[in-house]
Amino acid sequence: MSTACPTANDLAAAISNGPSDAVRQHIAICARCADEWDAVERVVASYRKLPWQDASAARIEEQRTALLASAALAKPVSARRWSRWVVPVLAAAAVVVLIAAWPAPTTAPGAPFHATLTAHGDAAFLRISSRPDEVVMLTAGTLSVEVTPLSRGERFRVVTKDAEVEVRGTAFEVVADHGRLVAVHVWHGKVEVRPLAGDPVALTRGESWATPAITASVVPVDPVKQRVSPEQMSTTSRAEIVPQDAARQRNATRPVPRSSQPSVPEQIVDVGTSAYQEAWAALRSGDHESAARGFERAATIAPHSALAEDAWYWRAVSLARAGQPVKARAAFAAFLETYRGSPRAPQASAMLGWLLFDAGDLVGAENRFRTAVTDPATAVRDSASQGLEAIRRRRE
Amino acid sequence: MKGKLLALRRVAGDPVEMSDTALLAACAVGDGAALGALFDRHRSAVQRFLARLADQRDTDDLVQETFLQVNRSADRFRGGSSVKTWILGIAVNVSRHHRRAEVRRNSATTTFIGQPQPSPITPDEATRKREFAMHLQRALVELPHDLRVAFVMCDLEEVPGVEAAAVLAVREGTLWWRLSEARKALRAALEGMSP
Repeated sequence: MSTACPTANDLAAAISNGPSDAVRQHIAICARCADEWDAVERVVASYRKLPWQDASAARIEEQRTALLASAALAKPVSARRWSRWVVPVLAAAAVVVLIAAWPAPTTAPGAPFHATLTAHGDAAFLRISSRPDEVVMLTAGTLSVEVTPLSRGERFRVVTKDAEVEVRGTAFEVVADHGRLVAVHVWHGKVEVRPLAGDPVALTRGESWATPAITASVVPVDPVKQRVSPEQMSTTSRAEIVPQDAARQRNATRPVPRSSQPSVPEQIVDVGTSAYQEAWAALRSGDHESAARGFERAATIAPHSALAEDAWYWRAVSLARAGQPVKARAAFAAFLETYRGSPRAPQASAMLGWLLFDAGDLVGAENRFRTAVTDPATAVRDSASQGLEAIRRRRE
Repeated sequence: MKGKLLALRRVAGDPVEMSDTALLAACAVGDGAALGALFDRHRSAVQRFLARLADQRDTDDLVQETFLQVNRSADRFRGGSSVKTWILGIAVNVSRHHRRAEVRRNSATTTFIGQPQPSPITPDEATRKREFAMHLQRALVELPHDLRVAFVMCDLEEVPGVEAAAVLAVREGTLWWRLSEARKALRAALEGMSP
C-alpha cells in the first residue's frame, strides 16, 4: 500500500485520467489528498454548470457563409505543395471518376463555383462572385450553364442589366445582347427568370423564355415551326427561341411589359459592378466597414441594375458585422421595405429580428421573427424559431 | 461549336457521413463542403471553448478565424490527437494572437449576464447566483493564459492530457503542472463562495 502523497503533477493527472490503484489506496487513507481531490471536483463541477452564450442562428449562418466564401478563394496548400506528383495521379483518377460519374456531372470538391460555363462564340461574361452566392454577369452572346445541386443557403444566378436567372441544380442556356437578357432555354432542372420589369417566370425542362420583342415580331405562327430542339438551340438564331410545348407558351413565354424603370446606361452598370466586386472583396477580407460603403456605392450608382438588391442586402449584413447595430437595423428595415418580395427577405427579417432583440425591442423582434418562421429554408426557419423562443424566455 | 465540361464527382460520399479525419483530408484539397461539415460539427464546441477563454465580444470572430486556420492547416494534421482536439489547439493559438487582456478583464463579467434561469427563483437567489457566476468567470479570466487554457481544455472540454499536451506543443509534465496550478488558483479564488 502506498503511503507517500502523490506529487502535484501526479495528482493532477490522476484527477483527469482517473486514479491508479496506488493513488486510490492512498486517498482512502490520506485526508489531505482526499480533501484536495474533492475540492478540485467541486471547482470543476461549478465551472461546468456555468452557461455560455452561443451565437444566434443568424450569426452562425453568417459565419458559415463568410467562412465558405473565404475558403473558396483560398488555394489549397496541399495542392500547391504536392502538385508535381498529384497532378498526374489526379489526371489518371479523373478518367476513372469520369467514367463512374457519367452521365451526371457534379461540382469538383471544393471548387469555388457550382457552375460550369461554356461560352459560344464571342460571348462576354464575368464571374462576379463565387460560392455560396455565385453570380455571373452576362453582357452579350450565348452561355451554356451547368449547375450542380446547391447546398442549403447557396445560390446561383446569371444577371444582366435588366433581369436575373436563378437556378437550383440544372443545365440551361442563356442569351444576352448589349447587356439585356434575350432568351433562356432549360435543358433540365428548374430555372426562374426575373425580369427587372415584369413578373418572374418559372421554366422547367425543355421550356424557353424570350423577350417580347422577339416573340412578338419574329415567332412563326405555325406551332410546328415554333419548336426548336435543344440540339438546335446553340446554332439557331435568337428569333427562333420559343417554347417547345405550345400548351405551356402562356406561362413560359410571358410577354414582358415595357419597363417603367429608367434604362441604365452601360457605363454606369459597369462602374456599379466594379464597386460591387470591390465590396465583396472587402467583405471577404473582413473589412466590413469598407464593404458596407462599397455596397452602398454599388447600389447608388446603378439603383435599377440587377445587383442593386443584393448590394443593399449585403450592405446591411456588412454593417451588422462591422458592429454598427443601429445602422444595420435601419439598413435591414429599408431593404425589407424596398424589396418585400426578395428571396432574401425572410433571412433579412430573421437577422433584423436578432438585432432588435439585442436592442431590447422584443415586440419589433417578434414581428420580424414571425414573418421568417414559416420560410422553407431550414436555417432561416430555425433562426426565427429560436428568436421567438428567446423572446418568450426573456419575457418570463 | 458546343462543348460540355464534366467536373469530378465527389467519391467519398456525403460530408455528413464522413469521419472528421476524412473531412479534414478533403479540406486539405480545397473541399468547401467538407469545411462546411466540419464547421457544423464542431462550431458549438469551439464557440464554447473560446467563450471560456476570451472576451465574449470577440468570440464570434475568433470562431470564424479558427475555422479559416483549420482550412489553411488541414494538410498539417498528423493524427496525434482527435480532430476536435486539434481544432481546439488552433483556437488556442487564434485566441492568443487576438488577446487583449485588459479589455477582456473589464468586460469579462458581462459574459453570463442576461442568461435565462432554469427555474423560478427569488430575486435574492437570482442575485446571488449571478454574482457567483461572475465571480467564477472573473477568477478564470484572471488566470495566466496558459493555465486557463489547460483548465478549460482538460477540465471543461475533457480533452485527454496526452492530446492536450500534443496540440499545445508542451511536455505532458508541463501540462499537468499547469493544470495543477490552475486548479489551485481557482480553489483559492472560490474559497468561501457558494452558488
